[in-house]
Amino acid sequence: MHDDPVPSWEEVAQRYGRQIYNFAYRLTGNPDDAADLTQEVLLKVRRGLGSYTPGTFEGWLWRITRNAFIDETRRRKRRATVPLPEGDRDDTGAAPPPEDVLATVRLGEEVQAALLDLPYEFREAVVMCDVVGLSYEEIAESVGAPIGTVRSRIHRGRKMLRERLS
Amino acid sequence: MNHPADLLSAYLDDELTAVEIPEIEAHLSDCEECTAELEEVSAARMVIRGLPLLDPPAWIGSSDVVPIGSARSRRAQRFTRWAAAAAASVVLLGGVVVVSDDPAAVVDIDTMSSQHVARVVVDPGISTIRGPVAGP
Ligand SMILES: [Zn+2]
Repeated sequence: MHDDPVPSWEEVAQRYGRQIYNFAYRLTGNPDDAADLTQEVLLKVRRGLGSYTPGTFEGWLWRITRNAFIDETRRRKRRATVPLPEGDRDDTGAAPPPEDVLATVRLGEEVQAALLDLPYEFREAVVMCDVVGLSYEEIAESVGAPIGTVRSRIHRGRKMLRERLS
Repeated sequence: MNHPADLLSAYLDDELTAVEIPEIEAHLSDCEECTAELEEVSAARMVIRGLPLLDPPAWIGSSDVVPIGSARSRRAQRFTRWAAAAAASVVLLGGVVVVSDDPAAVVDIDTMSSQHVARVVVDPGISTIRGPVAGP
């Protein structure tokens, strides 16, 4: 294991903002939640950078991201939500996209729905591996589980996903 | 060797040790069951990796945006305007919330949203403008 230099907050935001957003988006399936979570994580990282002691930066960052995600999910379950009124839509009035674009969108939606159907630990492991591109070692460090568990979750997660998509 | 199910994904991801790789390959060469399973997880892996990477909204990660400008509070803000218009015909624009770039000044967005929604329900005259605030 090597020591990574401590990056500045701007570097973190620039280099990892998109990855964190895609991680959150694939776990929630909701762009608003993903955006809020991403900013929340980046602010937590800003507060935490001062006390970060060099180690593997990715492990540290994704551990924060994961914990923020889990906290937020729990908080939401407890909170009664205010229903949004009908017609609360971002209607851009743009022309409808062509058929091949729609087919791609539908496939993406099917995959997203299948992902959301997986138990949390499996979805998380698959998303960290196949969406974020983390190594098994980084995933193990982020979720606090042994490599063997990570291997098993990724494999079983993919298998479940394949079953749901067929 | 038993069917090495969990190791099949690790094999695809090049996450096996130098000792494990030849073992798996030897097993795959005469186990149809594992070969079929390898194809299945490989298909799932490609499908997920084929998902488009999405661009976050532009305000994400810019150091001069505090969470007050985030997606959920903007939803609450739209609700605020709607509630204000529905409850009374008086709509006051004002009450600009200014928050500095100081991390200590970061306001919990959940509290913010729920407070604003709660306030407007009892007092339809309140509406707010929130968003990015220029930092130092
Ligand atoms: Zn086998």
